Parts: sequence; structure tokens; C-alpha cells
Amino acid sequence: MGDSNRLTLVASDGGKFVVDKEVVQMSVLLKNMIEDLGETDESIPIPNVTSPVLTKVIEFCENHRTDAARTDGPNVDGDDARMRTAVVSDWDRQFFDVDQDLMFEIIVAANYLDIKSLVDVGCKVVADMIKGKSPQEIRDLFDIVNDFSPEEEAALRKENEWANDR
Amino acid sequence: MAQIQYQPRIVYGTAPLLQWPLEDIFALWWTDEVFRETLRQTPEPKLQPEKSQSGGILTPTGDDVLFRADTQYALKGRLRMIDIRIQQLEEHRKQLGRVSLEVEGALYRARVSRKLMVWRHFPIRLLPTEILTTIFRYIVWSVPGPYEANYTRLTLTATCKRFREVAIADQSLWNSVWFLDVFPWSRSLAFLERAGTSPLDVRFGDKEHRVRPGKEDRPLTINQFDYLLNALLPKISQIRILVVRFETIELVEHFMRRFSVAGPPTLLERYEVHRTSVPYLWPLEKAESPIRLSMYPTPKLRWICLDGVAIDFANLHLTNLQTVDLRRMCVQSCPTSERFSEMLDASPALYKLALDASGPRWTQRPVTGIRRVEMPNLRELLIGDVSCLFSMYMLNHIHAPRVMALSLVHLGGQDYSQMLGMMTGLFPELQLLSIFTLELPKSDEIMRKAVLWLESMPRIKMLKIVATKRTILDAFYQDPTQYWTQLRMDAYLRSWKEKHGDQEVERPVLLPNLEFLYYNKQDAGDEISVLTMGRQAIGKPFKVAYTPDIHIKTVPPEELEKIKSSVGTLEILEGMKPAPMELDIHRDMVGTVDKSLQIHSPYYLPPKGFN
Repeated sequence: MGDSNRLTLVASDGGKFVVDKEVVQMSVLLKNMIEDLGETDESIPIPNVTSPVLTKVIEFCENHRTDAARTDGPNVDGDDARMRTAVVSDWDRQFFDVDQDLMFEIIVAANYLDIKSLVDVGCKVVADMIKGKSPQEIRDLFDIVNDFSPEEEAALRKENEWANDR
Repeated sequence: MAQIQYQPRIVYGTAPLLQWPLEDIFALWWTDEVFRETLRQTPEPKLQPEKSQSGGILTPTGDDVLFRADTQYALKGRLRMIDIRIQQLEEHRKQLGRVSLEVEGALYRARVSRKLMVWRHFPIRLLPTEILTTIFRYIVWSVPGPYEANYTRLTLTATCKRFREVAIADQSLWNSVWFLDVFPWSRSLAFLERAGTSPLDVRFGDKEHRVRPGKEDRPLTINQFDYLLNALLPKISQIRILVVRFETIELVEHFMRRFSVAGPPTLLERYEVHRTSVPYLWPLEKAESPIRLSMYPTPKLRWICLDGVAIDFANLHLTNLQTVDLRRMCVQSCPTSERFSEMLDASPALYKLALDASGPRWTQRPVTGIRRVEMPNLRELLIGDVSCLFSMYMLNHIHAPRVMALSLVHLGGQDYSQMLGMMTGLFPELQLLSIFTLELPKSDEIMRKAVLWLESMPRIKMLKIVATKRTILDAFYQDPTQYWTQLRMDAYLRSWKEKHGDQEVERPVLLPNLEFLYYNKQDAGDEISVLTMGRQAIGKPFKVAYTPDIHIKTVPPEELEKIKSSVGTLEILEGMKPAPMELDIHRDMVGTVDKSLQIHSPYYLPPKGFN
């Protein structure tokens, strides 16, 4: 019989990770799975997440394991208040200072594993890059091609006049 | 390189051309301003034949290849090369031991191109819709004001088709509607439609933000206004926040009457109506036919603010209010004393009570015959623009020993020392005292009342002073024992002897926790240095004094020197921004109320460190 406080996660490429249950339970998906499985020595496969991504996800959860705001706690203030006040800490910003593919995969994995705080931090980092910028700047930033038709462009130009409302 | 003072900021709209010196640009390469300068010089992305509809790059089989091993390998290789280059340049800089613009420029180019490469390859449009929606909510819901909110939402819908679809599909991105445009309100009504069935936060005629360069508003007619109300009021059951400002009585009344009968405002949490024109007070003749807030119950109403208007208080559906803010009403329009008490009784969660030229209806009867309502959660109290007797009459309606912020506003034209006498001992937990004009004649007896009043609030941390006379300023550095009775003095000496034996008696200092000062609009003769030097002389100088940039320009240099030499730090605030300590006190205040009541501060309080 293994340590009942720890369990093994298996990434899509076969990488194995032994982690504390408390850490893993930041993921609503895994928390529910653990509850369903009960006491078991079985490994939990994470088919959609590769080892490098799972390493980062576990790193985040370990760093945030003592956070007061847990997934199962009531969100008293609601999304609105949370989104108005959420600020990315230095540690979190550093955490997301990775290559673009890893950043993308961490956000998608956090969404799949239902780790709200990690999704939030990832979204906030991307949101901070967009804030204040014009459509052209956003397109330049993310290498997005302007795919509006000429008719749609004309309608947009009219809508853009609204931006002067103060 | 030398340290450069920089406050991170986001510029909404067209970014101004960056006119920083080169070395500043190099040092601040990580800022939004510098990055936007780089984007300005980036060629516009063009559609490539091999690109997919979603913007990704297609393989011959039609799959997005952004994560294909060879694409990633090549990209990673380029990033590693830039990383090595950055490392080499940093080493070189260290070895040089001096600032070389050439090296700094090369470092800047490497860092910016790395950042650009990472973000240009971040496949934002391939993110699942729910994640993109969350990102958009973070962007829209954290804007500082209505202009930025409009601009941001329009920006998201004008970037590309995917962004537009995701943004328009999320009703909650559109449910804050500021009617800042003019008839026929095309933009606001489009936003209203996009908000669908979500709860609505509606603001109309927000004067503070109505800056329309080169375009004068024509007065709004009732017919035009009806066009808007016909679109808005069918959604009355969705309205959560309603803040309206009108110039004329006709528009105010028209709005209030239509709102009153439009249907049940079941979600309404905040009802705020301002009339901005003269006459200053709500006209007497209007008091005879008061308008009901609503013919229907308003079960969620938590915030009521009436400014230059009144409602039919007798028929107001009583709810547990958190903010009551009544301003500029003629006496006959005010709630009766009994009704006012009933409103307070029904509101154990009341957090802020502001009575400015308004309050319970004045009835010439002795002030002693009134029932005081227990207000355990009241933290903010404002008394403004009323006579001394009326202020005492108002105070007789409440018992609120946990008030932590008290504002006395425009109390002039007579002697208010009686009010100070009455308030002595009422607010022992006060931390923030704001005085915007308070009149006290000069006499020993009045000084005694003022000092004893201040002495009864030993927890005061911060004082806000605006256009306040010297007689008040002098009170803050008096020796309180000078104003004690002999009986009290004897008791103090006895107690000292019991505790400290024959040690020399230490005199208590007035307001021992007062360390922060905000001041503005002080006239000659009422110089603030009198106060700062007085506090310094009693051994309790202000740690920090704040003043707005507009005021500092009017202060003579010698006065400024006196202030600087008698306080720890003098901080200049931009415009009317609140002082950081004031925000801290408000944050602390919110933390002291019963959490089960789910009371929120009437203000948006940015997280600590982001003031």
C-alpha cells in the first residue's frame, strides 16, 4: 500500500508524476475523480496533457496550495468583482514567461483540468497584453489577418465613430 | 543605466508618439508604451495562401500546424538564439563597466524582438471560446471609466471575425451601458441589445464624462427621451444599477414617473438620480406631489442616492439598504422623522449615510424626543450644508459608535461648536476625519469644545482639510489637559502615580495616532503650515502630507518650505486622486463589518499597491 496522501498522475506521453493529493485537488476534475475512486493505488491518466505542461501545472498548484481562495469556496463577490480587482503577482507573471506554445498549452490544460486560479492568471496575462490597444495593434501583436469583408469594414467604420463618445 | 522613475500605465486609444530619450526607451523596453511603438513599425499581417480560415497555418491535410514539431523546433531555435544573444550582451555590459548606448540599443532590440516573436506566435484565435471569453471579460471589466469601456468593446469587435463573434456572443460584456452618446443613441442601444437578458448597469447623462470636443449637445426634448425610454424600460426587470443625471426638473420628473410604473424592478440594487440645475434645492411646489420610486416592490434595493430630487418616501418599499445618500431637498420633501427612522430600522446593513442639505424632516420640536436607531454597521457618515441645530437633530436619530469616517461639509455661516459638543464621545473608533469648511468663532470656550471633541476620537489616523479656517486648525495641536476640569486632572494624576510612582508626569498628546494629512484650497491666513508645525511642536508630526498638484501651484514657496520641513514627506497627488492612506482606511473599514451581510464598499477600491 502506497502513501495515501499522494498519488500518481500519468501524462499523455507516459511521464509519471507523484504528487500530494492536496495539491492535485486544486483541479476540480481530479478532485472529483479522486472522490469517485476512493482509496486506491491506481495512477490517474491525464490523456490531454503532455509531461512538460503537466510539470508546469503541478509547479503552479504547489506554489498556490496554501491560497485562501480554493475552487470549492464560495465566490461571494462574483466574477465581476474578481475580474475588476485581480492582479497578476510577480511569481505568476514569471511563471508565464515561457515560450508561446507552452503558454497556450498551460492555459488549455488548466481549462481541461478545471483549475480556476491557473486559468485566471493565464487569461489575465493575455488580457494585459491586449488592454488599451487598437484593433490594428492587436492584429500586429498576434499576427492576425484582418478578415473582414469590404462591406463589414464599412459597417465597422461606422461603429468606430462610437468610440468618440465620452 | 540610471534608475528611471516610471509608473506603469495603459493608454486607451491611439497611443501618442513616444518622445522619450533613447536611453529611457532602452531601459523601459518592457513597458506597454515602448511595445506599442514597436508594433507601430511592424508590417500589417497579410493573408497567406497556406493559412487556414481560423488564421492558423495549414498542412497539406488541412490540419493546423502551429504545434507541428518542425514548426515549433524552428521557432524554438530562433528564440534560443535570441536568448544567447541577450546573455552575451548582458555579459558584455557587465565587463564594460559603463553605459554604452550601442550595447543598450542591441539589448533593447533583442529583448523586444523576443517578446514580439513569442506573442506573434501565440495562437490566440485557437483558444477555446470559453477562455477567449474570460480574457475579454478581464479586459472589459477592468477598465478605469466609461470611455475606456466603450473603446475596449469596440476594439474587440473590430479586430477580426473570431474576436467579434466571441465578444458579441457574451452578453455580460455589454451589460454596462453608459449613455454618453446623443439622440438617437445608436451605440448605447446597440450595446443594450447585445446585453440580451443579462442584468443591466445603466448610466445616463453622466456629466462628469460628457466631454465632446467640437460638438455641443442640444437640449434633450421629452419626445427624444421617450424614444430612449421606450427601448430601455421594457427591460426594467433586468436593471441592476441605475445612475441618471439630468439638467432640468422636467426630464427628472418625466423619467421618474415612467420608471415608477414601467414594471417590477426586481433586480434593482442601486437607484441614483441627480438633478444638476438650479434651483439648488428641490422646489417646494414639487414636494406636494412626490413620485414613487416604483409602484412595485424593489426587494434587492441596497443603494439609494437622490440629489436635488425627492421621492415619495412614505410609499418607499423598505429594504435593507447599505447606502443612503440624500442631497439637496427642500424640508417638505424630506422623509418625516418617523419614516426616516423606519428606513434606518429596516437597514441594519447600512454602511454609508450621507445627508447633505437633507435629512429627516425638521419639525421644530425639542431634539430630545427622538428615538435613536442602532446602526452597528454604519462606517461612513457625512453631514453637509445644514444648520447647527439641524445637524444635531439628524444626529439624534442614530446611534452609530463604529463610524470610522466622518465628513463635515459646508457647515458655515454660524457657530457649530454646539454640534461638536454633542458629537463628543459619539465616534470613538473614527479613523478618517474630513472637514470641508466648518465655521467656529474664536473663543476659549469654543476651543475647549473642539479639543475635547477631538480628544474623544483617539484613533484618528488621517485628517482631510479643505478650505478650513485657522480656528479649527489650531485645535489639532493643543494640550488637551489645558481644557480638562480640575476633577479630571486630579483623577489623571492619581492614576499616573499608581502606575508610575514618582516619575515625572507625562501629558497626553492630542490625537496620538494622527499621522496622515490631506489638504487642499487653503487660503492665505489659514496656511496649513500652522497645523503641520503645530503637530511637529507637540512631538507628533505628520508622517505624510498629501496635496493635489493643482493646489501646490498656488502655494507660495516659503509656505511650501515650512510644510516640507515640518512633515515626514510631502506627496503630490495627480488631480483629485485619493491618497493611498485614505484607500487603505476604506479597505480596513470594509473588513470590519459583519460578513454575512455581504456589505460592499460604496467605492471601487483597487487592490493594495495599485492605487
